[in-house]
Amino acid sequence: MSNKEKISWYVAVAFLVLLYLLSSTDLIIKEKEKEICRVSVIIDNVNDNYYGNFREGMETAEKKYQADVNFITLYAENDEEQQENLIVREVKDGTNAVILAPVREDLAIMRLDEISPGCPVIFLGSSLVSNSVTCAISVDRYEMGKTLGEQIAGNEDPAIPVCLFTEGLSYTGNRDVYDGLRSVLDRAGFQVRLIEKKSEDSYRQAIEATVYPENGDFMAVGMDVGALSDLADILEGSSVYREHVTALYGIGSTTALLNQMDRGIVKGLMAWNRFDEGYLSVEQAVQAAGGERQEKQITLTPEYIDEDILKSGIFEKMLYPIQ
Amino acid sequence: MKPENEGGFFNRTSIRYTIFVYFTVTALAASIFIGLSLYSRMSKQMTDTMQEENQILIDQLNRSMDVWLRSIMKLSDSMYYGVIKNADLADESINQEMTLLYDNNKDNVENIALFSKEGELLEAVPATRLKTGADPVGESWFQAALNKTENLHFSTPHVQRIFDTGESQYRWVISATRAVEITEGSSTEQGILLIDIRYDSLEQLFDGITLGNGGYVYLMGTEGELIYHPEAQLIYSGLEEENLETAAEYRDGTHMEEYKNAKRAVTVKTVGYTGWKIVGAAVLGGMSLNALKTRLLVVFIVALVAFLLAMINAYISTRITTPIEELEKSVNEIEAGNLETDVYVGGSYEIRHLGTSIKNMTTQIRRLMDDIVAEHESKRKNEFDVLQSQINPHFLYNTLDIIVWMIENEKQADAVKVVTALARFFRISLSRGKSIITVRDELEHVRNYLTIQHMRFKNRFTYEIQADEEVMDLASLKLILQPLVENAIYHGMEFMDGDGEILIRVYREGDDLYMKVSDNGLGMTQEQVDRMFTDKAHVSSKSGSGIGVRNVNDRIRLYFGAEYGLTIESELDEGTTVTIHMKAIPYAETAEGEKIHVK
Repeated sequence: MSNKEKISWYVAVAFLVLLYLLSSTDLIIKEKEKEICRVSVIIDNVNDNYYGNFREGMETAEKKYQADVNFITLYAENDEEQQENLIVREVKDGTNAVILAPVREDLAIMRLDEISPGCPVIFLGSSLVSNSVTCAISVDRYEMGKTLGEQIAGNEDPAIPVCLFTEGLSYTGNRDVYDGLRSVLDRAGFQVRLIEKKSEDSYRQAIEATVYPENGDFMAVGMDVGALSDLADILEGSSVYREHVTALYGIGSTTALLNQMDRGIVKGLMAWNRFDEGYLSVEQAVQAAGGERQEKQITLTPEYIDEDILKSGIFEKMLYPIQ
Repeated sequence: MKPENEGGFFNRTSIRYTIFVYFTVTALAASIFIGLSLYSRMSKQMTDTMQEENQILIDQLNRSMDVWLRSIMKLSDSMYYGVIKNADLADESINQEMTLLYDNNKDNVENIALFSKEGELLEAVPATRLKTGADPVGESWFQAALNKTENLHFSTPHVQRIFDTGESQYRWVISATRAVEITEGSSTEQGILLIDIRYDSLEQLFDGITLGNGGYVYLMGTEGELIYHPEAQLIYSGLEEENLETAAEYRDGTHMEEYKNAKRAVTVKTVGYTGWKIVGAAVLGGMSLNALKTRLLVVFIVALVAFLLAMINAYISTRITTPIEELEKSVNEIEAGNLETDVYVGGSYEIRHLGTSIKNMTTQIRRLMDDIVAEHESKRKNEFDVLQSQINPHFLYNTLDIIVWMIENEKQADAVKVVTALARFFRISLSRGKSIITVRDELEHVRNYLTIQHMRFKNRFTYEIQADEEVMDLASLKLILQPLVENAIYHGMEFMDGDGEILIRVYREGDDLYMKVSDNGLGMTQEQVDRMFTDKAHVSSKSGSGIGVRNVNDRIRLYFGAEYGLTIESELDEGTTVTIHMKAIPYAETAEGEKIHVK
């Protein structure tokens, strides 16, 4: 056997050994173990009343992507400082991604830029982007306010004043809704009044102040889901208020609000697919944590819902996700 | 004839390598072919088994669906025939009986309600009233029951929103409705019996059922509308898709389709009564090798098989070709001229036969070569014998003439001397036909010759013979000195007048015997010297013996070898010395004085 042949045999044996090590051992190629992605969802509220459909979508994605989703509520409503602490805590605990419904988007972005969480952050309800935010899933709040304004202008008498109720204009998206509404209502000649929540009784006091001394009628618009729910509950509890509040419109949909629409408490509302919002947020978080390239902005389409539309069942699957 | 495959790849490679390559490639190709055939066969079998199992699963699911539907139909029948038909709603309430049936089935049933034809709620459990503004008549399930009164109708899943439950929850239901006869006093009217079946009770039948890797089962209505799907909500949202339109066209059985770049086996089974279709979508290629390590393992196995085949083939080809290589070495030796080499004979029958043939052929060549040498030697001998027999008659005539002259001038003593010399000369010339004589005889022969020539040329030259006693009994070729002396006399001394000298000296150096013939004659140019070894006719004188220098040289070389022979040193007007170089062999050691071949 020539030297050349001997070398060929040695090379072949070495090649086989290499292939064996590559294919049957962990010495060279280490098999990636399936890691469960931990996702922390930090909302802007003390309970998940407004996140029913969102959670449905979130849990569907959690199951599909085998993620571990930790849904976290605040101790105090709209407490941005607490929200920031929760982000730091979750990052410290080793979360792979954070889904955040920021109380105040501008402050949240500022703080995120400062703390630099080191994991993907998905923003809910905000269209603001920054380097700290991996993806923002939102609806166009200005357009939503404008559409709602157009429905009000089309259905209601401009002689009746409109009270715009909100948890706070500074909270995420509310300023855009307000601007959208005002752009239409002002043009249509409505008299508009803004009422921001200062305390638990702010809305009731504002309604009472309008109803009793002045004995006047007005339309109420809840510019966020919290305000709309509170207003619907207040009106449902008082037939007197219902006599003076000619119509209740608002932003956001929950099952309770839709039932209240059935009962004639709520006249119209702007809704969007919260199931999709929940699903997409977790999907984006898992994919971002896995290093996949993300869309920076996902915009959901809002729909105007009134009693007739609700009964028609057109948006049944959006408003009542199949369980 | 042009060699086959001239310039081709295998023309430049060894037979061992060629056999190795052919065997390995063939074996590898066969292995791959068999592997692929087995893989294809096993894949097909696996696919068939998978489809069979899927079909069994779908059949089982169909039976479960059937049981589920029958339980609802049974409930509906119990409700109608056991409660409603026997009751007069004008006098009595059937709420208790309805509640009892509801309680027995509340795991599956959300609401049971009885409506008048106009949509008035007559009885309902557990709900008690309709929502404000609710219009049951406008609902599709109500219309379906009214349009076909003889049937039990199943709606597609929907949220039942007509009842005021006071809850903030919602439930998806499938409404089972039928037209019923309601007795109120003496009149009988048509009414609608509604049973809202919980969607999750249907979901439980399908929950967790998968078909292989990535396969699933869903349920669709008669128009292709989705009733159950594990990702129903994502499909409604448009985040996922399902091939509903195509599936709606399928008959019962298994169908192959390509959807979203994946091949799927779609098994369809129609559910009795409702006409709904259970569809099982199994992704083919779920068994495909997708992990890098698995692919590498396949490569490793193929490489290992190839390596083992190569080893076996190397062994086989070596076994076959080693005898051929050994034989080739023997042939190379023969080609180099070594006919004495031991030719390899071994290996398989054909190679052994070839080796034997080559061995025989070598023996034959050797014998033929010996024959040629012997023939050549014989030819030379004959040639010499012919020359020897042609000793110039002129020499004999001149010698006899001298003898006559001596007798007439009463020089009897000289005449006797010449006659004696001539007699001895011829006696040694003949030597009973021998080619080999002793140095003594050769010197005696040349001395006789010189005696005669000295007398004849009237003492125009002198001569001297010097030889050691030790060389006298050595063997010498016959008549090798006389032609040289003859040349010296005729070419060297002919024009000299009494001062010509010829010296013959014989001596031994080691194993070599030297005889030198020197004269002080005219000498020769180098050209003349060279011509002496090539010219056949060398003696211009008519009185010469006719045996040339070349002949002498050839004979010495023939007998002793190429390293022996004549050398001539000559200078014009100075003289010539011719040296004979032979092997020193005692005459007694030569068999009959003839066979003294050095090789």
